[in-house]
Amino acid sequence: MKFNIHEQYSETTGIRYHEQSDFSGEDFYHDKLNDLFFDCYNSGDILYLDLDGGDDGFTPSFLDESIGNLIYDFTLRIVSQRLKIISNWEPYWVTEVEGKSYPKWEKRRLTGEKPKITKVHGPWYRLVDGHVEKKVWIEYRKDTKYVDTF
Amino acid sequence: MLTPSDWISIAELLVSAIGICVSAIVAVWIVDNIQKKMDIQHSLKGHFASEVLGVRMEYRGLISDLISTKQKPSEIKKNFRKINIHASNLLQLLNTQYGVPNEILLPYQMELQQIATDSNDFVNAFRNDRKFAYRQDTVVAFQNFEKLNDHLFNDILIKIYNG
Repeated sequence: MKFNIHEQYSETTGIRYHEQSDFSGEDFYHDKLNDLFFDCYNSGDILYLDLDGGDDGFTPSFLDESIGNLIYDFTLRIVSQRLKIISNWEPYWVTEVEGKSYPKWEKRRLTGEKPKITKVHGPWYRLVDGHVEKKVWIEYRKDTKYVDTF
Repeated sequence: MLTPSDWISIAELLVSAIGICVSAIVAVWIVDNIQKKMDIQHSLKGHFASEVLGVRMEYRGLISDLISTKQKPSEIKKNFRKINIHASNLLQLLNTQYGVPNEILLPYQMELQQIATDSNDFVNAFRNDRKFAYRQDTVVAFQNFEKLNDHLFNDILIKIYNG
């Protein structure tokens, strides 16, 4: 399955968190990427995430937050198998995400450093003990920003 | 009247003369072609060196604008993308021609962009896309980045001219 962020999500993308901008990395993950990846995982397909196109480009924090959350919920091993990032225009994104974001978020997953959420999200998929469950894993509270429900 | 041995001597002389001419023609042709190839290589290196210096000027201009002018977050994002793509395209060619690593300018393409876009000044201006100026701590970060990484362009030039 191929998904082009600029064509199929938004021509312009934001920065890391919903509280900072529209079409943030946090928004992209919860509104699109989590479902897309689950569909591929469930069907044995590979998700090709295409970063090319549009005028706008990305900020490092957008890609780090969105793909990082994927690592947190599905593990580095599974994401490495099922996600291929494509960028012919800007190949340095692939180097950066695979070289820095992947290990950073895998470490966060292993040490339990939860992702920050800045708005209420609907339930999302997470791999737990070898099977996928869908629920609200982290509850948003305005005062503390997140409460882990898992 | 010429004797057979005279004719043999004349023939030998003619063969020697023809051999010398042919050798001379071949030598001139070889030198000419090698010289042409060397000239082409030299011109190509000069061309690519000029392109590298052009990219360096672009990044220096980008940093100068980040430090000294007010810009919108959307402009900063687009400027980074434009210059980064230009650098990537050039590096792909240099990698093929001279073995220059594709990721040699990754600090400019990623780290510099992170300094610019992770800063609170950028983040706070993003939603309304308003013009802003970076505060002193970020300005210092840009200056330090440039001091530490400007040598990368010289590293590329060395690889081109050693290639």
